[in-house]
Amino acid sequence: MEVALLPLPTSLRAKLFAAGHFTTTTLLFLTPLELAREAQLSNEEALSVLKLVPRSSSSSSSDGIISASSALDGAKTAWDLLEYEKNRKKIVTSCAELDMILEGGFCPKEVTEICGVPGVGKTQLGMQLAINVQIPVKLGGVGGHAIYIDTEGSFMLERALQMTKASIDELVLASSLSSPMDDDLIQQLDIDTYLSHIYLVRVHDPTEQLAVINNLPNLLKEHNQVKLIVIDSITFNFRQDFEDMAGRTRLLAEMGQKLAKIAEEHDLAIVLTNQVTMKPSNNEISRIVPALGESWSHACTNRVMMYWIDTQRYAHVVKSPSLQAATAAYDIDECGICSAKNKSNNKSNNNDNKSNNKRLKLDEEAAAADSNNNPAHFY
Amino acid sequence: MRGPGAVAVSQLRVQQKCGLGCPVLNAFLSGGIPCGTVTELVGECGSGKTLLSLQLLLSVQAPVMRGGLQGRALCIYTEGRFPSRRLFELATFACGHADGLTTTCKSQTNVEGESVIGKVLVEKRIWNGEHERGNVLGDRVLSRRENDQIGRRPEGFPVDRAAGKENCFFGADGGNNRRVKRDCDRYSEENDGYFCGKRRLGGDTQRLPAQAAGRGSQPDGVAAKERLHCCLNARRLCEKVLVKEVQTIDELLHLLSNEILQLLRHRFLTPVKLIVIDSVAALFRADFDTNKTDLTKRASLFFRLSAKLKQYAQQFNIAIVVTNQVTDCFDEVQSDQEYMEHLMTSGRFVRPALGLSWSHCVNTRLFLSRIPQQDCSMLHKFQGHVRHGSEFVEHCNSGGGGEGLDGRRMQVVFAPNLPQDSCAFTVTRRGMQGVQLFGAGGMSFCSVTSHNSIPQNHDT
Repeated sequence: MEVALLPLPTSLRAKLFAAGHFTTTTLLFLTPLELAREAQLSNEEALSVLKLVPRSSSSSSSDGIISASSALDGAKTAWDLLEYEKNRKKIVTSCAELDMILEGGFCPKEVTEICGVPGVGKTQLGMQLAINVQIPVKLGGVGGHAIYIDTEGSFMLERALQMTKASIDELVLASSLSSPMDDDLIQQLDIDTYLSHIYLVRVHDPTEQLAVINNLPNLLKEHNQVKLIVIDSITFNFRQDFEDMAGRTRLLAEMGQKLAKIAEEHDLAIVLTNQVTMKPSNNEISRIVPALGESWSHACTNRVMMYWIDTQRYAHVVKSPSLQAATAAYDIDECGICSAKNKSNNKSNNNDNKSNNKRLKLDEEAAAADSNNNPAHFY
Repeated sequence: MRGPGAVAVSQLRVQQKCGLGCPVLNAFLSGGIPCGTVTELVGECGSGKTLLSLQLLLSVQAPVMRGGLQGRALCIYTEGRFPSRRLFELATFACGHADGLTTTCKSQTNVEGESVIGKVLVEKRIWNGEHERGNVLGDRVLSRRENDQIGRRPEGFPVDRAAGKENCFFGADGGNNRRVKRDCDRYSEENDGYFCGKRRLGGDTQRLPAQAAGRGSQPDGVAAKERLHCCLNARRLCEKVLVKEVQTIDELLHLLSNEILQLLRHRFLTPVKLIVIDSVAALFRADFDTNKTDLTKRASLFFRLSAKLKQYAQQFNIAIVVTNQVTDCFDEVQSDQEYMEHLMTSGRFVRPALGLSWSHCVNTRLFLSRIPQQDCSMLHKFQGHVRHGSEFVEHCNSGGGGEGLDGRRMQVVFAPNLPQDSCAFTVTRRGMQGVQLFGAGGMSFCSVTSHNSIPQNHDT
């Protein structure tokens, strides 16, 4: 490895170059005292340099020839990554269409952001994921635990109970149809077990939120089977008075970076819920955009936008490095997230002749939007 | 700094709910208004927001097994005068005013002149203010002996000694009334700008029993005592309601950080369990223009207010209710209106005031609407029973009109624990009561008329 790549202060590096150490192979067999004498460093400095030298077995195997893997320590080949991506288990959303546009579900090592207007189902989706991450491995799920960071107070135990019960019933039915259940599975598919594997954290202001995110590595050490972190919502605490908007952007960027790092290192999925705001454009018509500004858009890996068209909910993949832009309709019933239901026009209670026509007109718009994969209101 | 710790969800308890004082509405909201969250009541003028908040101020005081939270209430009002008279009236009904009663127990006095249709079952929700046993905002401490003399159980329920069971009509308590009255008078009233609902009623309480004398045709002696007792109990209920007037948002934020925090921390015997802000729209509509800087400033104030409210809601486990107004949608097909479900009231499209930012600040939104009579489906002949609050009334085949009543609906716009549904209700002197239809062919807009001979159906 090049000495230039070691994180050293410039003066130290210059001294090492002056002493002729350009690659770390020459540093490998020196003791601190010898290095200090050679490069005219103090003993502590020499010790710190030698501590940074990576000592992987592959580099010592061939003298003078720097093998590919030691030059870029920690890198993987694209083939490895492809294999990993093909085999990783995704967290399903209980709605077939949503899973389809996400090509299986929510993936680990990725930060996905869900934006939408109030009431469209962001919290419900978060809760559903916290339940679905626990689907046992034998039944094709991830079989992990979940951390739920609640900033808005929308996590309600009774709703979680309802959804858990429904999910477990469905799983029990599905699994007992295919094969007889063993005791292990029965133990896993129990409401108390499920609920005891969701860890709820309630934060009230930006400082607490940042503290919790900074402390996540420790929390993950304590609960090491966590495969999902849901933050609902990431925006609420940051929309209060921030006199220094640049400061806010910096904090957000730092937060985004930390989350990405955690997702990568601990191999878990992170799902963030974001709010929306109105952005006026030139021709006076405001658009709905995700909150927290343009710079925050770069923090997440994938972004899914949820919206209403009349009485139907839709989810649209807006940004993703690997998924294509697609829209899916979904619904929420007492069991949680589910596929879109066929709604007859008489079902809605606030019926009126006016609103009936309106609904028809908007449905046509929705159909048009769907076919173009480009809903009219969003970018 | 570590931040708050993680709690496994299995360790949590289900959130308590504050009932609305009506079994139908409680069932509709799956128990009532949940603690630990902010609930918003949206509606046009006269749709019932203030009425519902008054009803909540009283129903929060009920014991837990009757759907309340056994606590006090704090009302912050921003629009004009606090409707203390209406609050008192609702309290008298809650305590079993003559009009609100009919007989199931044999020991009751029969209220003549009140015709009852079919089988009428009335669940009497009689609950009473608790005697404070501590140093509480100036209330006098009652000694145990005085308490026993009054003959009340510690929970404050009047006991019918004759029938030996709880919650009966308190005609049997005749002998204790004078003492109760004296004790009530001794309660001190004011502290630091908060005043209990009772104070405003200073002059009114004297008059009300006389007014009440016009109703029913009961023998005078028992009736007068009943009514007095009832009024005293109503006064007690109103005493537990703390009221504060606020003009601007800055004042409210200041209050929240100081006096209200102290109030929440104060160790009452019945702690504050409900905060009602009526209305939050009035705080914001006057001071801010529609230019961009003002709107951004306003939005950041929304979030500050909401963050504070949610923090208190969770920290002290209280329910918070705010009311909001509506604005008209002028152009029906504007693109920026698409983000919200269209709400209709009185035949026109409206949306909640304060915009999209405020929508993110509340957990639950309930929309109260009025459907004008001509839009109600009057041709439908409905057969069966109608549950009107806690009364089951047999509904006659009324093909005719609703006698000038508007159909009223409460709709869940969004909530973390409720499906999108709506429920009809009516407004009477007794307050707001949900309407549930049993029987063949229930239809969504049935305007209920119960053919009572007691003139009850006043609006608001």
